[in-house]
Amino acid sequence: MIRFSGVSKAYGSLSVIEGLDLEIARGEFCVLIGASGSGKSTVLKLINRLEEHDSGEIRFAGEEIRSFRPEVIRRRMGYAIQSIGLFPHWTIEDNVATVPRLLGWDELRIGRRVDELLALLDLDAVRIRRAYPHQLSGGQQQRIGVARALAADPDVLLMDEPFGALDPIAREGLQAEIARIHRATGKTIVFVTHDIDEALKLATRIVLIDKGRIVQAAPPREVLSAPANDFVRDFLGREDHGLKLLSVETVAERMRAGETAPANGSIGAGDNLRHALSKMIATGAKRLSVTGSSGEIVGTLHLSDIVG
Amino acid sequence: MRPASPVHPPLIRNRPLLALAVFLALGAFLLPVLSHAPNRLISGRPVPLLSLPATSLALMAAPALLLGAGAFLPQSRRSLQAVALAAALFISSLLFAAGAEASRLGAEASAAARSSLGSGFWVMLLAACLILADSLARAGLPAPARLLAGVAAFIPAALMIGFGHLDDLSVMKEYANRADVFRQAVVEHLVIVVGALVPTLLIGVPLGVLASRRPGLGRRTLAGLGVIQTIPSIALFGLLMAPLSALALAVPALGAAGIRGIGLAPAIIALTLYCLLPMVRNTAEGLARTPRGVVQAARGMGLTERQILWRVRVPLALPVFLSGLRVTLAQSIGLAAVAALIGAGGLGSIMFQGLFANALDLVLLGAVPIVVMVMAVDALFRFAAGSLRIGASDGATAATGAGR
Ligand SMILES: Nc1ncnc2c1ncn2[C@@H]1O[C@H](COP(=O)(O)OP(=O)(O)OP(=O)(O)O)[C@@H](O)[C@H]1O
Ligand SMILES: [Mg+2]
Repeated sequence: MIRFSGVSKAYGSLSVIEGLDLEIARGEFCVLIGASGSGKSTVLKLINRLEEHDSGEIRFAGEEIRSFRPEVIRRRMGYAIQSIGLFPHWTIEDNVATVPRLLGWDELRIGRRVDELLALLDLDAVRIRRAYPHQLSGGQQQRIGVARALAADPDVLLMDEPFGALDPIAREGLQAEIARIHRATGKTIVFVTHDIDEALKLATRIVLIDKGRIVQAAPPREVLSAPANDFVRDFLGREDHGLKLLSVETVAERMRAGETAPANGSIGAGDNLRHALSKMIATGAKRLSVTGSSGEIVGTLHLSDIVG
Repeated sequence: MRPASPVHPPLIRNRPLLALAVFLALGAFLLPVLSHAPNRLISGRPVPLLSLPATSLALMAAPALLLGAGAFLPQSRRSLQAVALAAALFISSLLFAAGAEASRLGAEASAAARSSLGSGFWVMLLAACLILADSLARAGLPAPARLLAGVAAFIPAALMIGFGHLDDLSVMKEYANRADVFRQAVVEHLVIVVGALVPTLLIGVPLGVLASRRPGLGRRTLAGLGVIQTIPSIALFGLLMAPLSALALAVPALGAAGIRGIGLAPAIIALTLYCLLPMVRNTAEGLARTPRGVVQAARGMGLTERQILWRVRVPLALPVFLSGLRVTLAQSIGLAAVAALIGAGGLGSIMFQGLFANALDLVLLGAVPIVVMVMAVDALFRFAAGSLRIGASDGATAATGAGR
């Protein structure tokens, strides 16, 4: 879907991206992570041509991005920016409807879409449709930023730290929501974050960037089990490396299927092992019943299944 | 306002109001409310307020007492509104009493007799207007209501003028004598102002846009325009006379079109030069105010540069732009008066005629409409800017809370 070959970018004499090679396949959830100033935002801006690359080639759907008019390519990609950037003089409704209006959708369809998006992001449409951005909390504004990026149902979503201003609970809710949207629609998502746990949770592939170069690009599990070098290990955090490993494996993978005698507590088959371990420690249970999607018991998870 | 302590409630709760009330009282008792002369050439005899008939005095005393008392009342929204109402009533009764006294004095004297407004009248009027403005501003009214209340306060005055109650005041006599000249002067004044406004907009807005794009160029432009502001208006008119006369001589067609060293052309050019500074500055400032993230988001979503300009930058710049326009207009309405000196006409010509003939009422006839126009423009633009402000409604609620 998006392919960087030997791309470099400098701001004046400051080289920000150097020889970047990266292919992002259709339907991938690609999370860019790295320290502040490492060039993550710049990579996103190169994709939608907010910045022009100096050398190398960037292809979108097989074509060199410079062959598109910038506006055309931008309207095909949802973009949620780090500083949110809602239009202060437009209502929430108009903000969300920005790209659909540019694309000439009819008002009826736009109205329906806005309602749908506000509901999706857990916002009270009746109360905030006609509100102005400054009347919303930072977290609500950030959700509107995400809704606005999703509005025209683009194939590609570029998200630059879209959950930065949220409290942990709202953040988790939105992470789950974006993961669900990704599973349901198969959109290609390029997502920037500082937060390694967020990356591990969401990514189909993590791209670790340091000083404009890719240090490692691999699925979360591989990053955890085979960190490319000490930089990656530091980034993962040496102390709770083990817990992070647990967080990328699901209960279903380790449970004893068919052992359906009810235990004291239960856990979903799709939950991760870290969650399961945490539950065991908190409740003192050494085994948990594993429930399937409709709540039926499909197996049992023992403490020794996690640690062993 | 601080909640009053239960032990020692402060006696004076509104010091500015008390000061203005004292100022008003000084004007009432120490200065003449009118000045009466048998004819226009002789300077008048002062008419003290206390010599007015008891009915007039009673009419004014009631609201005046309330104004004084207002300084000692708890400062709630309601008491501030009552003070504003009292100020409005006082202004009306003052005018009414002055008009009635002028008629009474006029009936006793010859037709040539003149009753003009005295210093006491002006002091009282000024004090009452300031009290009105201050209490309206603090009474927690939303902007439109404040404007309406301000306008409503002067409806009785307008009615008194309309129904001829003030006709025996010398200002109105001067007006009656030269109603045609007056109307003509108002039109000329407006022609000068609008004539300067058009080029100001045509040149100032593009310059402002340019200045916002190129800060270096912008700084230099503003510095240059700032220098022009320091030239006194008379000097600027003088400076323009020579080149314009030369131009008219060199190109007779221009001369025929009215471009001459005196008259409308130099007036409009000078006013435009003065007005460019606020226009350019506020346009540039307004455009620069758009947050960077907002522009980046707009671009990232696929708005073209032109769409960003018209849908994002311009609307966000509009409040600052309008305040520039307000300053520009107010300034040029005032400066247009000076343009009378180089033969551009307007209300200034009536004012200067009065100044040179030492006829104060003639000066007033020119000056009062200028003041009224400036105030009207100011109020109108503030109102427009207020209703443009995003989420103006919560601003008003906040102010309501603060008024308590
Ligand atoms: N418009 C610009 N002009 C000059 N330098 C820039 C510009 N934009 C970014 N930079 C520089 O490029 C480098 C990379 O910036 P970028 O915004 O891509 O970092 P980032 O990884 O997104 O950082 P953060 O996590 O803090 O958002 C930084 O050193 C930054 O100062
Ligand atoms: Mg960034």
